[in-house]
Amino acid sequence: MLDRERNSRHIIAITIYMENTIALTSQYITKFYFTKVVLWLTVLVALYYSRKKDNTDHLYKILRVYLILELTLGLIDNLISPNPNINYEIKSYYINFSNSLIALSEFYFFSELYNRVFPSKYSYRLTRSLSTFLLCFFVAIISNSFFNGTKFLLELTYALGTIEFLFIFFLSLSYFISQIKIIPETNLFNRGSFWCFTGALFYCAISAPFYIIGPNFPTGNSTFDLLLPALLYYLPYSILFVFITISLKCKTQIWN
Amino acid sequence: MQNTNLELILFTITASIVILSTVTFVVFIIYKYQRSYRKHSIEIQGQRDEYEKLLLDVKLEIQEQTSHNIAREIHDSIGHSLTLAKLQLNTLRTPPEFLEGGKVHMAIDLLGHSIQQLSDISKNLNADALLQHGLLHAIEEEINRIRSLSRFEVHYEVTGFTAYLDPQKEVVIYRIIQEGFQNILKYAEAGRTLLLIHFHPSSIRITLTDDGRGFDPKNIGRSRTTGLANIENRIRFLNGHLEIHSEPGKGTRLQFTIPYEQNAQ
Repeated sequence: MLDRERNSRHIIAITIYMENTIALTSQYITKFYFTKVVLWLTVLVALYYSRKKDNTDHLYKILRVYLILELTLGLIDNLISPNPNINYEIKSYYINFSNSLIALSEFYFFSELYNRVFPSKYSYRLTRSLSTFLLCFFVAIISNSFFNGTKFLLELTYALGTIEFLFIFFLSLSYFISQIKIIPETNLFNRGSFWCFTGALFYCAISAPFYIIGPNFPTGNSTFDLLLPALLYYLPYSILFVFITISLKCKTQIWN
Repeated sequence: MQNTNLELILFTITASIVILSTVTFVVFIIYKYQRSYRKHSIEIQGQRDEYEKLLLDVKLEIQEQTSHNIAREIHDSIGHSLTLAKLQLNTLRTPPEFLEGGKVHMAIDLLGHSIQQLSDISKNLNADALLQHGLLHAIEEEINRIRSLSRFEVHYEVTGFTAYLDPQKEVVIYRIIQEGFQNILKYAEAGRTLLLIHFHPSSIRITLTDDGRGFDPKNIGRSRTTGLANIENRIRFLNGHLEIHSEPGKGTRLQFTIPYEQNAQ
């Protein structure tokens, strides 16, 4: 009798907890004008189309890892961030850790794509050195924060993100400038790499102002603080995934 | 509050400038690339067309040369031997009518007939000999040959000011007409055919009509016969334009126009 009562209390507690979590998560989603949902949907669609491509190719593997990380880490973040039972330190650690991990996978994907489009020893060495540096930097800041607290974590991960962001912006610009010099043998709109780098360029260009004011964020103006990430981060990021999907739908490989 | 609003305005302006610049940059690159791509594609297409035409030219020349060689072989070798055999038989002391119950006489007749047939075939294969009196004369001979088969009625009409064409062009046109009649003989089961040749100042329009069983031009696309494909290739080679009108049970009209430059002769 006592056990049954205890069980039903547990069930009620779990139900209340679940209801609270769902309510908080939905509130968190709606906070950014549903742009987070749009982002997940676009990632999901891109992931679906990436499965149709060659499973053994290294570049597609990196792309799939990038998309899976983006989706799973984003969904977990959505459960952790609005939860009042999880302390700020853990939340901060998780958010910065996941953002850096996504930034790294994004960097690997775009640098590998660039190397496939323009195979040269110089760019290969440059991207490899930078990726090794970023990986070391990532391991250093994450392990340091794990043992010594998250005091400088935000600034350091921000620095990592900015380096990655600037490098992708530079790669995209370089890709477009190179298009003028090459002998055009295929229609630009049928080339997967064109859609990928267009998406990356738009994402970088639109998000640039957001990155500039990044350290002073949130600004205190509630409308500004909600509208800004929605318009200048989640939306262009979704557009990037839409463009990646278009590139995956091209008949040729994405590096062509 | 005022400060925040100013920041917001400045931020919006900066963001708009960055976005607009990026869009302009991308559009500019796309425009430059696509323009260059179109130019390159036209060049490549031109080279491909030229190559195909050259290939067709060589193919037709080889065909004509082969026909010419076969015609010469028939005339010089087989024709010569048969004529000699006929001459030998004609020199027999006893008149052939009285030998072996008239069988030798029959053999001489058959030899004469074969020599005539071989001569016709040889002439037909040799375009130079065929066209030594001009395209229209060669066509008339071809029509007479077809009439002699008594398979269908052949009506023939020439309108406009007759022009002299390039000899190579005349050979190809002649072969197209020949192929057209061959198709009618093979597949059309026609009762009447009409060949119209009209000379325009800068082109020649040839229409070959029959009242045969016809076909569906949409279906023929997939299983195009060699004859029709040959006609198409030859017309393409002459930069001409072909129109095929046909319906099952309602006959066929093959009309093609070949441009030409007046060849003063």
